[in-house]
Amino acid sequence: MAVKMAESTSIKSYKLRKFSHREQGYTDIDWHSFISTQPKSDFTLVSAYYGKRKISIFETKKFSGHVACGQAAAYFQKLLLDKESSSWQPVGTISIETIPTIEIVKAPYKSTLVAPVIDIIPEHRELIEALLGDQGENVSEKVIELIGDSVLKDSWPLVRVEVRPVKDSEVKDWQYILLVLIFDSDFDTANKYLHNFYKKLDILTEQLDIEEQDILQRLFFFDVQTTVPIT
Amino acid sequence: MSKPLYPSLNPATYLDLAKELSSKSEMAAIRTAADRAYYAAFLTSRDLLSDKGYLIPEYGLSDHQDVIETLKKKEVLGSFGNEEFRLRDARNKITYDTRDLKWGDKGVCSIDWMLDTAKKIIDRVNALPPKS
Repeated sequence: MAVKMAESTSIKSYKLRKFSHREQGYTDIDWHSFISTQPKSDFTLVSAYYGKRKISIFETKKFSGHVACGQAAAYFQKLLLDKESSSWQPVGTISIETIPTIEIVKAPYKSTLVAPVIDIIPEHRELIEALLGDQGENVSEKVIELIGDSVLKDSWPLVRVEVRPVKDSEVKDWQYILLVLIFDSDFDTANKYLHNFYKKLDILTEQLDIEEQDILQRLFFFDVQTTVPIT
Repeated sequence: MSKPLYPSLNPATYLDLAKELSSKSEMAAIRTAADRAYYAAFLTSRDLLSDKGYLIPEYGLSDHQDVIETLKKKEVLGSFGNEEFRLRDARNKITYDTRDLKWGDKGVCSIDWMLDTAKKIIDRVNALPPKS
């Protein structure tokens, strides 16, 4: 399913849905099936991102600019029903009224997420996970949510995000995660987006505990790349 | 006491040198300007952060990491400290990669952006109060 940016430009508000699944034993979630089993045609999956234990989904109702609570759960419900005869089995309840938690057994994830608007491409996923640890994964998910927030609210022309583990070439034992935001814009515009993002990151920092602040400060770095050359 | 072979210097003066070099047409001058712009920001930040009690420098390679991480602390520059990281990334690219560098290549920024960013970092670190 291709989702055009135009479908999300009228968004006035959105709600982030979070899903949890059990970590142990998971190896693959078929995101293509996930997207193609969209149950209602007037809803658009704007983007999705999975962390080690959590899947974040951005979705919106087409044309209205509003997000329907529970639609994301429906995606999963449909997928689970479709896959019931194979290895997919729901082991919990799908709650729409409360924070939706879906537990799936025997459903591991794969490392590259197919996301229509926010295409997040982790390189060397296993190295990223080793570097971040559980707490770092939590911080990573919050940062990704913030990027999603910027795409939706600030109409970022974001092409994709590349997430790279980096071992510094000069400073011994210095390793970190580099998030490269690739914009369909010129450099100056992308630079402005990044500077606005710094303000959001500072607000996020205030909401983190001391350890998470330390992780964000030490492990996460940001840069931009652009698709439009300077003439 | 013998006269030092290399007397001490104010690293902020590297920025003036970088500006001067950037106005030349030779690529060696422009790429050296990129290098000096980063070192102006890095060394000035390090020395000021040390003077103000935010950092204990080692006067070695590890200072690159210490300065960047210190600048990113919320009581220092916060997320804007990431600009020091970007400046260093650009310096590494422009210094070490002698091939053609194009817009869109990772880490490639204009010399004007580097000079401007270095100045902004220095100005902000200058304005920091001593650590309480």
